[in-house]
Amino acid sequence: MEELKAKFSRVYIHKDSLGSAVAKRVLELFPSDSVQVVNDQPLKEKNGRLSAEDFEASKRALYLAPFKGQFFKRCPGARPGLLCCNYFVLNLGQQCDMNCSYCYLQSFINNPVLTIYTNFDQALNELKEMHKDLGSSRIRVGTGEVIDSLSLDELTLYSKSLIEAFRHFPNWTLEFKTKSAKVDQFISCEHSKNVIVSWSVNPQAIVDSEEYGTASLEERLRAAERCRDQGYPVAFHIDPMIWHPEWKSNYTDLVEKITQRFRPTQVAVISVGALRFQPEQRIMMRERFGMKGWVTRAEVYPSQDGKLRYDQALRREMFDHVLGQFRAAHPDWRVFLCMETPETWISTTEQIPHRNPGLKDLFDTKVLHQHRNWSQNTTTP
Amino acid sequence: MWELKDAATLNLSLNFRPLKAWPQALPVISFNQFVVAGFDRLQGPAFVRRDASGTGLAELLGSCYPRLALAEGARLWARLKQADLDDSIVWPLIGLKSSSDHERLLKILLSLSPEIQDWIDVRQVGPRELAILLCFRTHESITPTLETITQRGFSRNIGAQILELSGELLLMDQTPPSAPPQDQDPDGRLWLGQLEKSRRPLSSAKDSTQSEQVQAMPWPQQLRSQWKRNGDQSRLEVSLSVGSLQEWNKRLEELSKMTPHLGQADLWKS
Ligand code: SF4
Repeated sequence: MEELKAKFSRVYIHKDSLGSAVAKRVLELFPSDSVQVVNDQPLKEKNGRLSAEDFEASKRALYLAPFKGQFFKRCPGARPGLLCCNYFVLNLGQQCDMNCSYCYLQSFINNPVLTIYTNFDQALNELKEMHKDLGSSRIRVGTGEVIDSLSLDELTLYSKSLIEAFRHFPNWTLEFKTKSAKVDQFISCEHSKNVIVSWSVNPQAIVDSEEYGTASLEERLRAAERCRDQGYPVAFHIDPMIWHPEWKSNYTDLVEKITQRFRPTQVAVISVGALRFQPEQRIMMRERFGMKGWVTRAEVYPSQDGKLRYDQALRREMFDHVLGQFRAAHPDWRVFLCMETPETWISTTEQIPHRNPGLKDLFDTKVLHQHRNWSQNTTTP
Repeated sequence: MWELKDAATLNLSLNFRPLKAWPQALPVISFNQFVVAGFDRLQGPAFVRRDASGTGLAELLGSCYPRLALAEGARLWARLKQADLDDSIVWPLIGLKSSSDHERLLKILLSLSPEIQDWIDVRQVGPRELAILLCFRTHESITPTLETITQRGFSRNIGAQILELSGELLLMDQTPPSAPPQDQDPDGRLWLGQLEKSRRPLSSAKDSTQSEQVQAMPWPQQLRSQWKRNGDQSRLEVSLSVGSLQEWNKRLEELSKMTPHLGQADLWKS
């Protein structure tokens, strides 16, 4: 907790959030002179496109507030021309206390505070309502889109309540996605094996050069082993793969670490993706991280969806390599490409994603239609 | 309230050197004692808007200059500051939101030579195209690139790309290739290609090798072929034109003879 406390220089609590359990914990943890109760979002004048400096500062200003809007959103990967795992996103806050050079929040965040939503009960209610209509469908819910699922979870303890809720949603899967090793707070909870704890992983060389403030690869793998030992399915996202001169041996080593410490049956899925970012994100990345890292100096080009990516043939080679390593270790490893164009997918896996039996659920359009109907019929405050 | 006065009695300290001359047919326009349009006229009739509150300045400037270019805006911003007037009125005139990044950019623009400022304005270069300048603590290293772009009058598109690539190379501690002589590269495309090669050495080397392989193949004369990059993909492009079905069949037959050559080449490897 001391480490967590040191991350924030200022804490703001919206007056409507004062009664929440998170606010109570925050008030106990932080010295009173660093906490301010506010009627509205602080530093609002900075809202909009943040400067590099303001983005940096936003990671050190914690703001607890209720979320006004609908908690459930479709995964942003699902756009025309792109394929993606079909899942729903539950945002329980926004901004991240860690600092990866490639982080897409750099082109997404437009307010200058790290926000944690305190009306978690509303999220649970939405979840229950959605379950009434879609309970029989195979829905996956992820919490790590615009905030890491677990890095601040010691403070929020949302994971515990979600795990408890998902005990009643047997057809659904909840996915925590993290680059931290914070699992103590929920690891002993009773669960229905439908909570996947997943780690974004990269070779330690990339963790050192591009993923500041995150847990080391070893810490992440150890945390994953502990979850596995408690019966949680785990998953790994080798994403974004980052080209560097030793990429082949470093990613071979990473795959070896995973395949030597886990069996295919213990890992729900491995997703693989390569570096990609919006062109305007490059401006902030350059300013914040300079031009000497593997991400900012990457040889990227605009792709079909407007994002900057490595040359398609290089991406294919990188994916082939990782997929080949997993296949060589054991044919049962379930590896798929996330946020990739159909062309790369087909050339790497030699299958159209929809025709791949193991991935059918991930692309079930019926589920999407049901959700759309559900969203349209649900009014949110 | 408007008054008619002699321009010689007014204050020219807001002269921000607007890009376009104020039409001779129009009188000098002044806000209280500050001339806002017609700075080149030292005497003659001036329409003076009297406004004790000072709030009408934004509106008046907006009427005289519905849209200012970036460097013009930077100069006006600096003049307003010096005259202790509200400098925030500049943001809508240049179509930007007030932000610390935009303020930094205006300060950088003010530090550049008038020739560079004018190239930026004439070519309507925007803040995103100039964002690379925000990464430099001092601008000595990037200024020569800007000077060459300006002297050669490159287009906005080519100039902005040259600036971005040169800037990135400098930030990578690399020396960007210098501009080829003007007669060999009048529009900057050659220079841009060289910068591209330096910035993306691995992909460029691969593209060149593939291109050479394609050129070395025994293509039938009536077919045009090239290895071409389009965004994140590079591929073989073959074009042909035919005037009859007979010709079409002949071309197809010729094309099929290329298959063994294409199969042997290293083209499809990453
Ligand atoms: S852990 Fe994820 S959300 Fe946090 S900085 Fe890294 S990429 Fe961004």
